[in-house]
Amino acid sequence: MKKIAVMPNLGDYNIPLKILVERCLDMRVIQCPPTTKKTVEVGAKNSPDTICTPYKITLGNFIDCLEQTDATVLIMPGIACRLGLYDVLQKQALEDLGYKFEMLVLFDYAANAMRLYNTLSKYNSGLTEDDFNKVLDTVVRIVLDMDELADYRRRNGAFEITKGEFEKNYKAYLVKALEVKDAAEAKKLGAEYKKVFKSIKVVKPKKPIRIGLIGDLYSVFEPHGNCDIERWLAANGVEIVRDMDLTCTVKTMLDLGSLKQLIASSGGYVDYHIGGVANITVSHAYGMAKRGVDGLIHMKAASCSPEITAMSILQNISRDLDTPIIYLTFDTETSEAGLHTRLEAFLDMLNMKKVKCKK
Amino acid sequence: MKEAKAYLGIDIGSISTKGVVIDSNNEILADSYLWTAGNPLNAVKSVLKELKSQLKPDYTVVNVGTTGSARKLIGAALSAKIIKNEITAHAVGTLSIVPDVRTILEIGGQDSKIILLNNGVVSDYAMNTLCAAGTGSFLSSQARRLDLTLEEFGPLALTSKNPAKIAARCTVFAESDLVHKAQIGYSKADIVAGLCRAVVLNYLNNVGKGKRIMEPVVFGGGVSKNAAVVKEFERELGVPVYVDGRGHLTGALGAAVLCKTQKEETIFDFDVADIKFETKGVECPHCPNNCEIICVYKDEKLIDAWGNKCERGAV
Repeated sequence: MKKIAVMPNLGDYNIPLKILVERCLDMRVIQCPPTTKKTVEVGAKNSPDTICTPYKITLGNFIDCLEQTDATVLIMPGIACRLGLYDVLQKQALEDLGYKFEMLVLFDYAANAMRLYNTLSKYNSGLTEDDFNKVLDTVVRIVLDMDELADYRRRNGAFEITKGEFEKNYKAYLVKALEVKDAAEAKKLGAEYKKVFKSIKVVKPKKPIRIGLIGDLYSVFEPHGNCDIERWLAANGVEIVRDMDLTCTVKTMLDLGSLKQLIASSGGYVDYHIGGVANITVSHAYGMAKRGVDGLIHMKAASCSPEITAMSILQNISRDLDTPIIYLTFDTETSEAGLHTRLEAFLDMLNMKKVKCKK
Repeated sequence: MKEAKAYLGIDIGSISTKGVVIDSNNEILADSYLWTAGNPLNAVKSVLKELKSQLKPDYTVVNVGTTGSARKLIGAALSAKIIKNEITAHAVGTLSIVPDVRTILEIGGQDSKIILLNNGVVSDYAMNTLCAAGTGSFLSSQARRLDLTLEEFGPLALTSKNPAKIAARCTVFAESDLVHKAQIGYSKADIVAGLCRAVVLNYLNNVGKGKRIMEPVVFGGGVSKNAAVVKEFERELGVPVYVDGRGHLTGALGAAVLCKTQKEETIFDFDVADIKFETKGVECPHCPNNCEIICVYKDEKLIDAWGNKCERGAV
């Protein structure tokens, strides 16, 4: 019988990760139960108070999985920041609670393809490098395509004529992506849906409010980590610009050259690695401000230290390039009312500015 | 003759509820300021009664705007056309009093904010997030501890020549510091003056950090009534700080001014104050998220509901 594995909710990236694990290991990956208030409560209760929010929520996800599903393998995708090192603590915390399970970490802090292969072959000695590369190619293709589709959706979602069309098609793409056999098929599917997306009717004003999103991985990727901010922005007619996605993160991780490139494209505001994905934050903020977005939203999970470093640099970028930035911290107790008050005021401000500039 | 148009703005804050009626030149025709006392619907009814008694019969209220933390609830009850966040409302309200304002300092009961403007447009703002040390509730709880009324607080602080140094970083530390200063023999006036300074320092360090404060500076919100806090702001910033007599009403004023932009007009009837409103909080049972859904009833008829995150919770 195949082992049943599960991973915490991580936006839509659960799909490519599922493909990766299922095709390389003899496991069936099931969907983690949806994150609810209860999940967050249970996670927070069993976590140190000052640890970062993603640790607490993912721990809550794991507890949900162990309580509500038949999963015996817990997968921590890890990646890029100290969340990639938290598995040891979470494993201990869960064992202390009396659960029996195996824990698998896909990407540790310095992930690359070879390391990933070594990790996976520990769990499946029959996995050849050729097979692994074939799967990785497929997964990479899907990630590239879904990021491209998601980007198109963020830019146009607010202006679709039939509400929900982008979401429906994006979901359809993801379901079909699970079935593709290889990279070539994935490419075909991606191309097909790019066409579908282009054919969705939108009425876009000439100069809509454009807002750039930056921040730590979890707060940017997982809707529950940011109170589903993208949905709120789209419902309020905002074109969302977000260069931060898995494609760009993996690129930076796999290739040290791109860290140098990131630093070079930070307008002189930072000149060394400041931890986590904070270099991406600074470089993207600078890039988007230069390209003339109306404003930026910086999102970070409570107690994310690399992003705190980035914030002080962002203040200079904001002042020098006359681009307003609003700083949001997402905690386990974040109230949506307070968040929407601030976002509403931010939109009002950008709108007033725009009207004034036209005069 | 009911010829002249008027606009109603209501600001329902955590501590106080404010209402104004203005004419088309932004002149205040009637105003009211009452404690919310944990019951926004009742507070608004009292405010409406008071406004009605002040308003001359030749004016007709043609639109309603609400702001403040209960804006949604009251907005639904009064069928408001404008339901605006308090940051925008304060900016618009202050602009209507001081058109060239560059910096708005605002300290209310539960929150504090700073709004920077350039050419009459908001260019930056910040709101306190985690800390209550720089807000009105902190001052009022400390006043209670020292057995003073809020009205005595400011004047007493102004008599101090040697304000006690009180840790401004955090409410809890400020409070234990205050006790310490009292026990080692500081006079009440010095302690109170130290508290006012602590509020200002906390505000500038938390809310105002990294912001460039330009003149003219306008200070609003309930705490602006405290002359010692105003003096401390002036000392710290080195510029004059303007407090308008209507400073406590700017949010409501902003909501009323914003009403004027609405094309559609619906005559507002003050008799709404006699209608029975009820709210019920229900926990949605459909998934473990248990969304808290608020239902608003007008004369026992459901008029609005919100709080559900998905369609399963729709009422």
